Amino acid sequence: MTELFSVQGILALLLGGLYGAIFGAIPGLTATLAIALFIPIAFFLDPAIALPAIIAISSVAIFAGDVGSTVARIPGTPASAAYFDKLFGLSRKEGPLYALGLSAIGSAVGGIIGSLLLILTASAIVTLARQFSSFEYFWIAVLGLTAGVFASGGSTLKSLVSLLLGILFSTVGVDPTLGFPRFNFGSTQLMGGLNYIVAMIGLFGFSEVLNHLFNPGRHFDVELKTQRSARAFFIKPLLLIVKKKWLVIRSSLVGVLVGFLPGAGADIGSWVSTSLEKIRQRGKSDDVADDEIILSGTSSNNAAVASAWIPALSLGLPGDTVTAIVLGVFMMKGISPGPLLFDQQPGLIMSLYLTFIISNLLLLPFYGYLSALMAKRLIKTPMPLLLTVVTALCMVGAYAINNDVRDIWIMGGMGMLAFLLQRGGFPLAQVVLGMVLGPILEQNFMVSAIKSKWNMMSFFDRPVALILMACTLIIIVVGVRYGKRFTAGSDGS
Amino acid sequence: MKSKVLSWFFLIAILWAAASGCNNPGDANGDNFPTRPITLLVPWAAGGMTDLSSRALAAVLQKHIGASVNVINRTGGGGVIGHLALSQAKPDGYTIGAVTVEITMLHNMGLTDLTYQDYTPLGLVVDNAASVTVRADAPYNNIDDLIQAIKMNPGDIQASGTARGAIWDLARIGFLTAAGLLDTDMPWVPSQGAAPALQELLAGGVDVVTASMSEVDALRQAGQVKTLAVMADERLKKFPNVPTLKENGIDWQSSGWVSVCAPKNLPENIKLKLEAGIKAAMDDEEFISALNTAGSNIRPLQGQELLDFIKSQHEKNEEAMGLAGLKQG
Amino acid sequence: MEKGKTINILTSTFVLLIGILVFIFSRQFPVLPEGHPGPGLFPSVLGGFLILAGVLLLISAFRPRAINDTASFEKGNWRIVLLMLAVIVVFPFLQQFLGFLPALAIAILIVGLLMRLRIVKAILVTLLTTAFIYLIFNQILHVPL
Repeated sequence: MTELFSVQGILALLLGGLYGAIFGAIPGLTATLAIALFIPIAFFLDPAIALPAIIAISSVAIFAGDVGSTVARIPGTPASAAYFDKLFGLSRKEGPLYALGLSAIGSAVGGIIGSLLLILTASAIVTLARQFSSFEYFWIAVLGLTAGVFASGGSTLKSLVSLLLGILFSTVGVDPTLGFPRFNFGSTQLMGGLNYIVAMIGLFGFSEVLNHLFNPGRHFDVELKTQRSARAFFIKPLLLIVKKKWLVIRSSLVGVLVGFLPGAGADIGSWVSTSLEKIRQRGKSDDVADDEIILSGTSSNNAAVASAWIPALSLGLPGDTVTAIVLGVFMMKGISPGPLLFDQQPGLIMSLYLTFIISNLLLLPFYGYLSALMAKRLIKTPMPLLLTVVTALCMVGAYAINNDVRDIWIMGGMGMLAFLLQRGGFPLAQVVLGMVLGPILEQNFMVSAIKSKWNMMSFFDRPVALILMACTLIIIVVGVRYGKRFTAGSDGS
Repeated sequence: MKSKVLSWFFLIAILWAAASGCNNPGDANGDNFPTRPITLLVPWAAGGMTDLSSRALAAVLQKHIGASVNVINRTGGGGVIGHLALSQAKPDGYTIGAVTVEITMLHNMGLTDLTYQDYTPLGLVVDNAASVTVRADAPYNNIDDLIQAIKMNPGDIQASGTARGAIWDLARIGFLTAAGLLDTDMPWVPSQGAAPALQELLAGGVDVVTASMSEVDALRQAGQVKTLAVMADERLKKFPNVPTLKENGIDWQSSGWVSVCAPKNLPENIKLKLEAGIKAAMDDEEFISALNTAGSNIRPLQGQELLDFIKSQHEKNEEAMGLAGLKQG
Repeated sequence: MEKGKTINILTSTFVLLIGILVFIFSRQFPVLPEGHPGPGLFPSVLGGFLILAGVLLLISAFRPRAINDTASFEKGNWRIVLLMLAVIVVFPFLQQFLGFLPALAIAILIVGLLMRLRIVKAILVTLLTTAFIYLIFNQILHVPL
């Protein structure tokens, strides 16, 4: 508790936030990469410094993933890929400050709701989370993928194809449940699989480079609106949030509820809630709908960041890379995570909670504003200059994930694929979603099937699993039924 | 036009200078080793047991060897990628790496041709024995209860812990064989690792987890699970109340271990320096306390002893995998 | 409109082909003991879905009032795109001889020229970007470059 307010603690928060903001904000570098590259450093730091820094990085970086979308249509996280088109459109229509303000303030509010729920209901959520077996995780993955299909503005069929391609990419490499190498065509490098961060850098970053080279001036048609900064960034989004408070609360709840899914909580939260809003908004005018879709995605992904910590802290079971590092830091410093943590280290838990609140309440708006001002400048940079730098960052970013130069080829191949997919009218974000959720879907299916000795009825036996299945069915029915009207109502680009 | 030529010239000059700056002054026979940072490759993801012990070792090793030691994770392919990268590195001492128990198993599954003979072993770091762990409210209180229950309804009690054919699956197969049971009497439910398997155990999806003591310890302390036996020769110092399988008349040991190795053909003088550095690091109080809190069992072995240990593991695991029909070709 | 139709027919045939290939490939994966489906199950289901999606796409492409959602295949410079890809293909080989940073500097310079930056500007960007990458990735984040 006290160490949080020491000079080092505050410095850790500030520097962590800055690092997250810079990495997320530069197109071509992803927020996911920022967290992955921080791992080695976290182990050398004192936990009183490392933990606040990690919380600050993950809270700010999840938001900062939106900055790239605003500047150059390059989202920085799979979560922000759910609505990057809308955000780019909004920033061209209303200016980058308003677009990022909506994203930052929405993230902050969602993050605070998520943190409060973490604090108040951690024990209840733990009980729920403990009931989750592979059947429930399987259905959550199905729900996330279904939401992904209907979250596209264009053809549902094409969006399904993109999703299937993503899942197909995720099957490359050694099969995680049975240990059999698939689709590696004799290559040892491919045996390790295709990394989704590398793919994302290629799909979004490098493909923009190719687009520009192919046909310069493709994105240069909109005149930028100038605006009073503080008002656009803080006041206007806040007013919208107050007006749409139920939407924000609803989306944050979705984020918290799916947040503890190992590996993809924040991503699924963002996709499910944007898809929910898109279906709800059908028929309304475009501008309003865009604002609200961004708001729902951005608030639910930051709410999920908090709830991803629940299983890690309370059961000692890490769900994703970030929480795995956190547990590693704990152990290196002689703190054993798990249910006893709450009794043995109340001070530590309190300071973690506090860090979550501070990160969302102060750091996010602060760094959000800074990166929005930076984005405002970046957006005026001539495209050829910006994209030259983006190319370099794409290459280094792809390499840095595994320290393997051959990953640069994969990045380039994904960029070319994206270039072609876009020309056929296929959405890109769904490819990333497929790559993230594919392994979760398959593993939990195989585990469930083997566990129940291939009795398929067991997938429908458990109450929570049934509820999740019902949600999936509702999305399918509503999505298909209103699919036509929905396509006509949006810009479909 | 002139300025263009000039700029090219300058650029090439700068690049050339940069390129030559990257080459280090030669130290052909390694007498001055180390003169630059050492890289330690880890074939598993950050946050796991191998990663944690490697990082703890690296942090202390750099003090004793006089050069910084950077840990790099090269993950994927069930450990193949990282192990392969180490075996292909230059044997100059500047690239060393964690080599784990999987090196005795991967070639049996036909994933790679690599074996322990592709490395120069420098030191064993940790050796964590497998356990037989069940939910706290399970009806069995010792290993005999469990075996009776398995015999009553073969195939009904299921175990988990890793992917199929990976280390804790092997621990299960050896345990069943030594107890006179069949592979199918307590079938394996594959999982991504110990953490998801324990989640399944809590949710009632599986009945037994054979992960290591250090991995189940957090939930054990919390009273959520109980450990019936540990698959070691003798009781572990850290867990004196947990009986061994041997005490119950089942002759089987299984453990997941992490060693530090260099590529093969490492020059002798560099090998001696690295071995001395690792020995000093493993005696360091800082390293010992870091691993103790992580619940890991430190087991320093070097030289011929280490080679014999890896060789015996190689033969034992090959036999166990053959029994389970996991061995390819 | 005509062009959009051609692209749609082309892409849907392609999707269909990938689906068939994936399906055939995954049939060759081993099965679990007792004949249960193994590593091939998931890919073959994927292949099936791709085939289905390909067929449906093909049908909708031939429908008279198909929506044209393909980016109208604008005229563009294919040669420069291929040059850019060549840089990516060559880079990993180049860095073996020159080291990562010098090779990266050369790559950035070429990209800058492909982007039609003026040579002085391109060199400036090259130097600044390389320095930035060295500082952040190598010095701060300890990525071996």
